[in-house]
Amino acid sequence: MSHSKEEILIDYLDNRLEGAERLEAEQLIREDATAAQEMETLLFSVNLIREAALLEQVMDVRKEFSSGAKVVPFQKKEGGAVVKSFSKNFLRIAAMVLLLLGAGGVYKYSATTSSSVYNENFASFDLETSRGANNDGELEKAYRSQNWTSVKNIFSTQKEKTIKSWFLAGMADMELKNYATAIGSFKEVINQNKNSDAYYQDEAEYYLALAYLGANQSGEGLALLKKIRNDKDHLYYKKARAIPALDLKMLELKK
Amino acid sequence: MKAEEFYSDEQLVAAIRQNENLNKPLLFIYQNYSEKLSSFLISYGASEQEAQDVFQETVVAFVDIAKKDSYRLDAKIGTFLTAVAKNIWFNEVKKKDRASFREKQFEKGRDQVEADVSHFINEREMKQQMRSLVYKLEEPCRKILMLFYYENLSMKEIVQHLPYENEQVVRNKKSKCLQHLTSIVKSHPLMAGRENKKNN
Repeated sequence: MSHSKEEILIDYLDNRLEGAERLEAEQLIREDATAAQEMETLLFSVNLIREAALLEQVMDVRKEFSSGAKVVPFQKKEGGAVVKSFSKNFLRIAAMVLLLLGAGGVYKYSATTSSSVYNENFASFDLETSRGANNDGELEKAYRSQNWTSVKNIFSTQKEKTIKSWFLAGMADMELKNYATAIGSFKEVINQNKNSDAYYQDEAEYYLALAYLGANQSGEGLALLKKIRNDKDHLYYKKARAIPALDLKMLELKK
Repeated sequence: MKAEEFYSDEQLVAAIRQNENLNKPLLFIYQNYSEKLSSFLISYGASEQEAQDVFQETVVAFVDIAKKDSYRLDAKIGTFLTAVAKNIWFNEVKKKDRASFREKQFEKGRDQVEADVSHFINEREMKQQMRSLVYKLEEPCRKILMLFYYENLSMKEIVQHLPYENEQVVRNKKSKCLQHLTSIVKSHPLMAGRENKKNN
């Protein structure tokens, strides 16, 4: 499908064509099977955009509902002596429970930090299980032997840096706790993937989220984790989902 | 959380179709059906998190279905939502292959409303799976496309939301973003399967 035909179809989809131009577009869709199929894909894509936007809106409402639902207003009941005495005991117990919950909440709030969430969830990337394991270069060998400094040195001397070497260099920086450098490397993987296949894309996104947490940039880390937790096709969906929602909520409150 | 707004079933569908301030009807659905349906799903073996996720997906499915002109209120919304949720959870269980559980819990006693909504849900399965493709786009692209196709903002209004010079720049960017999305969609195996089915 030529670029100009695609533009015509998009203009038709957006209702920007009138008169003869509109009729021509309709004729194109009627008579050209490729154009008709392209139009269908465009409509399907627009439906996906609407679907994703609706999901985001529902998620926002769910969030609002969940935070509001915790605040249950106490309704004083009028009644006889027995009810009154029951209410008093109930209130005492409720107050104690609230106090305990409050203390637990305060502890949880103070104990949950970007670093704590990072430490609980970071696991080394195992190259053994990854694709391309048979095409080992020096960098991969150093990575397998967990010689992180060597990985960095080899990477810095590489003339042609591949997506895989950017990713492994990023992982070496994670192991060395150089989070800022790791962030740069994972971003590079994502950036290079714009013009190629999604190689190490999911891995880079997940570890980039953790690198942000390690670097105390919780806002960026949370946004990425949110994206992964909403993408069932993401390789790290289960890992991201395994991070307790309460921990993420605490980090969000602390932003 | 804001004060609850009351809707009858008919008013709720009308408010969803109106599409202005959708948050209110959505919040009403959460306030009135979330707890009951989550408990229902938990009784069918869902964890609390799974129940909440299925309910969220139920709300998305319901809004999508309610917006269609073909949707008619034959059953009460509560019954309809229950049927949708049950179908979604049924499909989730199927994916996880909890076969024995499925046979015991679901196959017996599926009522008419559940059977009626199952065809909606099957249609939505593919959409749900492919929805994640939108997130393969960079954020500026997603934002432009959502503002234009979901919020129905004009190019002029979008210029005010995003850091672009003028309407023409936004229009060009929007076209490129949509073309990029369609190329991602086309290369998805599910889409290829769909084309094959059509051709056969």
